[in-house]
Amino acid sequence: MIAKSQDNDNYLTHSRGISSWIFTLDHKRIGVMYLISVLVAFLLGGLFAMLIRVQLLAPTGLLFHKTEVLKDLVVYKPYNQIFTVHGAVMIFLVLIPGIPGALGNFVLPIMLGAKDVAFPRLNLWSYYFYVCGMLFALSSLVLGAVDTGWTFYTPYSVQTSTAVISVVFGAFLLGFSSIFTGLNFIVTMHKLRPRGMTWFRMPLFCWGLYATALIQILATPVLAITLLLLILERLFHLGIFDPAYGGSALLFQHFFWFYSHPAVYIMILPAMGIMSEVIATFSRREIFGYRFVAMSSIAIALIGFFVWGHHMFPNGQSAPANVIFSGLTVLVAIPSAIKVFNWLATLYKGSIDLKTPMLYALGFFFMFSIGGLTGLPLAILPTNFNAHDTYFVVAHFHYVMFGGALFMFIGGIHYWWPKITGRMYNESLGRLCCLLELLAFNLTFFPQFILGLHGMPRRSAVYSPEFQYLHVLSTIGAFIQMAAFLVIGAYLLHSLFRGKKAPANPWGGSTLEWRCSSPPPHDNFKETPTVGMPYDHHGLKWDEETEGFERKEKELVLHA
Amino acid sequence: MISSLLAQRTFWLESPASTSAENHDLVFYALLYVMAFFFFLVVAIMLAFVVLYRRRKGQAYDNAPTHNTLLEILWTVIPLGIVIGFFVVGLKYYVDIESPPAGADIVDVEASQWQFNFKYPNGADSNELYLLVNRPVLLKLTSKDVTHALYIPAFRVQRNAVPGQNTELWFQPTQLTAKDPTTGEESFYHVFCTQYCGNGHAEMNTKAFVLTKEDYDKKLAEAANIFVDRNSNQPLPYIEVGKKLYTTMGCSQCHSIDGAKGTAPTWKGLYKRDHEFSKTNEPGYTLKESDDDKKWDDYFQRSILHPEADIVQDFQNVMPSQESALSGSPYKEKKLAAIIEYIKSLGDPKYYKPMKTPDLHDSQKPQASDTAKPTAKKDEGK
Repeated sequence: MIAKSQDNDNYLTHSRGISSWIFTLDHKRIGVMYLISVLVAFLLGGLFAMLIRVQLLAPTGLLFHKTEVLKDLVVYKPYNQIFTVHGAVMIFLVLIPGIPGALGNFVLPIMLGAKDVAFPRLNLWSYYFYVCGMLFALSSLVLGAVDTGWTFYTPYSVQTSTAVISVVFGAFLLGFSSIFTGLNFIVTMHKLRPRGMTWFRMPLFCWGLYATALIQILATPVLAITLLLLILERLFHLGIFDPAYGGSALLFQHFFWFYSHPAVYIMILPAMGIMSEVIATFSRREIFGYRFVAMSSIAIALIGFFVWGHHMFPNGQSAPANVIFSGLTVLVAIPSAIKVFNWLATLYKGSIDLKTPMLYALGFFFMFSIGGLTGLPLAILPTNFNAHDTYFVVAHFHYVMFGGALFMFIGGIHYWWPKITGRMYNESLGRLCCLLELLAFNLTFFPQFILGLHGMPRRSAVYSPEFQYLHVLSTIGAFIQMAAFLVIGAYLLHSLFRGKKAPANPWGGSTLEWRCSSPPPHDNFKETPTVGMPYDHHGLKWDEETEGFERKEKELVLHA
Repeated sequence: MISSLLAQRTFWLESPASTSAENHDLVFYALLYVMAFFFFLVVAIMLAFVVLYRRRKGQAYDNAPTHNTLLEILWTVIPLGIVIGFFVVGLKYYVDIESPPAGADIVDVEASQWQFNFKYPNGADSNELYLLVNRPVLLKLTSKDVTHALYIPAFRVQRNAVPGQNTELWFQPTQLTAKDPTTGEESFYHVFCTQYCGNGHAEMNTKAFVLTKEDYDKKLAEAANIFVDRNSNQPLPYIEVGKKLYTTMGCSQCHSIDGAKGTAPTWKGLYKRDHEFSKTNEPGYTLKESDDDKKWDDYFQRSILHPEADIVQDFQNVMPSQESALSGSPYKEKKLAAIIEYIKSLGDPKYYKPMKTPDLHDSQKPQASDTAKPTAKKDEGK
């Protein structure tokens, strides 16, 4: 099948005018709108992160500190608001909706050879719930930025004078956005797979999204209930979460983590899906142990539901509960380890092409290994008590969420950029920035492990002078990262106007999205394709004329 | 032996200073080696494959295996065995963490925005934590407002203080904090609040001192000195101290200060009021408005230490002697004087002559044995 690269009609040119975007039901346009919104939120969250790093350059606080005149502890409040907004924006507006909302929406239906998701209108609703949630959450910046930390622990969140209700209601709406996306994806994968695509011939990105969607629709309602109860507690003092009115502080933490621990798998599972796609394409290999990689996603999603108590080991939870949660938590490490070993085995005897997305994937091995392994001392009880709520935890989850999930999101954007925009970005700049990001990331976050082990508590505006050199290293790393991200933004934007036209299949990808033109036509495929194994690279040859890969041999169709 | 070896490694952790820290470090370093092994294994294999199998022009594509059940089982079972092993080792030490030894010293910790208050068995309290070396101590944590946490990195212990709930934490310090011989600065262990608790969270930290029995008793005696205002380090007027003791010693349960009738005579207007007794310490003893100050002072002191001696008409002999409550702490005489001063202040104003507030020097050194501490010491930690 020769791609219709000469065909002028694509989803971007299919219809014109602002309303053709605002009211679009096209999963690709909704994906692009998600992508833009998420990147704006990422920029915002990143700016707040930089403020945190600048503040921590000096032990007494560089931005917000006591002076001769201002001696009250309220001088630290702006810092507390900044780390709260940084966390809330990055979690609720970037990491949770990021990969499913932006890349999943764009790629999933095309990977399945479908014209759209199962419920296109619900998909648009999902986006607008996201926008409304974002507006509510960000309105708090004007109304009184929240200073509770993104975890909203009671009773402080009941007592603080800041605009907790607007942020919490924003997160409530964002939850619906997430549920709609998850529901849509599950139905899409059940009903819209093409002929020949059995469950175990689905690309692994789809499996990642499927596992994610399971968590989204099962866990998010609990968050919705919790957040509503928190709002009611603040308004009417019902006595659910605030001990002053007969409630329980620990109950809130249980409710909160029952969602928020599975939520970290909402963030990492789709990233692991991208990892599988990128590794397969740039090694020209079928994913080693496909079924183990696919099923480990489901295993992570299921086990992930029963480990939330590990956020509360020193918090006053009973000893038997601590033991059970510790035992279950070490188990969740296994499916992740299975994935990493299978990806490694995929590289064996591959034909490895070090393009930008592949560099991000190789970086994922590095960062996710550190992030995942440092979860062990947090899961084992005696070692948890020295690391809990210190910078060790901060470093650990940044390695997983930022170094793992977010870097794979960026890697995924690079991987599908030619498909989404129809343009090629500057490859050398892409590789350079990726390497710079990797180095600067480790400079930023590795010192935080040591800070934590030496006792630096998290969420502190000021600190003991002996911690300063590690904080300075961390801030230097953060500035290099920021610079690299700005360059990435610049060359991606530049490619929109000056980039080379992208061929249908620039990387030699074997999944269905590489069979339609770049950018894809409005309907993706004229006819629903028939498919065989997802990672069959046979016959994909580089074509000098189109500067892309073309399938020279007949498709190897294996009938079910 | 093991602990002295570990003390050398300061890149990852500070030297362990409690029995639980030594246990923690064994598990932690074992974990660290395992983590490092798997990390370098993954990265080394990755780099090797990238170098060996990088794409070359005109390369023929190999057909490599895409599945191997034995490998899958191996890399499932081996990590599973390792993590379960660590879980079991962790469990062994966790049982220890949750089992405070009988006879441990008990210190009540009250956390509030944004300070810790430690209450010792002798009734003293302080914002810094004083500990006895090689003695197990059980901290009983409560919170007055929001959730806090108490974390001492050198001891590798952490526990939340949750409002509406009681939590406990025990450990046994093994390393003394010492005074630097050249600078004279006292070394200490950091105590942090790790649970974010509002504006002042970053400054909610204090110092822990691990002391010999002798130094510990001295510190506690100092801490028990309620005659100095903690914030300003200025001596408090006796009337203020007496007012505090009125509630802390439980006088308020029976004696009112507003003239209300109770199980015991009200303190309002008690001073220099004609007394009628149903029983007296010596036959013919009387107490009148016209009696001199000395006689009134003696009466008050006797009534506090030996309440059964004189029983006021219409009241029963129910008050326990305060002898033991006062003699258990230093400053017995001063406390007595403070209570008496407070009772006098509630009497007819024409008789009440306020006592001069003692100067700082005097209040810091109520006992001869306490002269060792320089007076400015308390301020340095602030």
